[in-house]
Amino acid sequence: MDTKEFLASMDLNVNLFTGDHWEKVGKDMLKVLEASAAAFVKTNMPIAVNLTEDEVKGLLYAAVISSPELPHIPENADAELLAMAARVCKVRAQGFALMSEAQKQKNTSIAVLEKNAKDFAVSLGGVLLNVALGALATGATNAALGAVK
Amino acid sequence: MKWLTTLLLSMLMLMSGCDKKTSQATISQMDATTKVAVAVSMQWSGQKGNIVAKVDAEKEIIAVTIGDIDDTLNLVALGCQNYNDALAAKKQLSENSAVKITEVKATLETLRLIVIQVCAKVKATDPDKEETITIWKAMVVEKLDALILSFGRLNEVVQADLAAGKKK
Repeated sequence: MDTKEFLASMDLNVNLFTGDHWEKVGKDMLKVLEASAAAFVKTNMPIAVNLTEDEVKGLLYAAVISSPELPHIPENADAELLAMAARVCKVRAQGFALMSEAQKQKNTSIAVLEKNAKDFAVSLGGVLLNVALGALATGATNAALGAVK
Repeated sequence: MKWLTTLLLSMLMLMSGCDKKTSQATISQMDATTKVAVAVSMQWSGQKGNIVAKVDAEKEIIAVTIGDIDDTLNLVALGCQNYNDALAAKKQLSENSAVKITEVKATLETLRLIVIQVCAKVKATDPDKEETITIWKAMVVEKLDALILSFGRLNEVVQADLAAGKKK
């Protein structure tokens, strides 16, 4: 399936992939983008139909970035295709680093909260113990005083 | 009052169940993967400044690609270190984190193909260092293979944790 057939099957404007940008990207990379984007665009059909060219490019890019698998890079790929693919890898690695940073902050916050909660429970236990001991002591004192009287 | 808020918040977070308990296998594999990721990143950085495209017309674009490969490896190493710290603070990973780990495995497999082809397109800037660069190229791919293998194992144990969490 060529680009035009692919776009037509998606009910998208067949002229979207013309122009300097797509010429530069090259046919191979376009295949890579299409393969990764097809499923994504299909599931987003209601919003994909009336998008601008830039928005469609954004969708395709996002699909490649978040795709679980990346298509095979052909042997003897030209330098431009390798550059484009390396950029996709970099953006995906950025996503990984950002997610890991968020997880680190979240886990650290939970750990701090749990430690504070534990400290609170210990101190609450201490307070209750003191109150109980105080009550016992008061009771014992009163009993002793009663006995003396 | 502050303590009470803290207690309520932590109880809420514990009750929400959005994170899954992580197994010891995952914690150990994350640590091992981090070490390999840092090693690959350092290996690439070690000689990236001493290589140049064989074809003059490709010098500029190959230089950019070399930089992007470097950034990718550094970001993967940073991500691994963050996850390692996250697991040390609290032995939990979110489902989104597990998905990202699966994605990085695929990214590294693609990056390996890019690295091999970029290595074929570059030579040493100093002709006397050509042998060093040839050895370096082989070592980069070797370490990258080890990282992909390590991420494969990590992916398996993370997925096993998720499956166990869903059964509960």
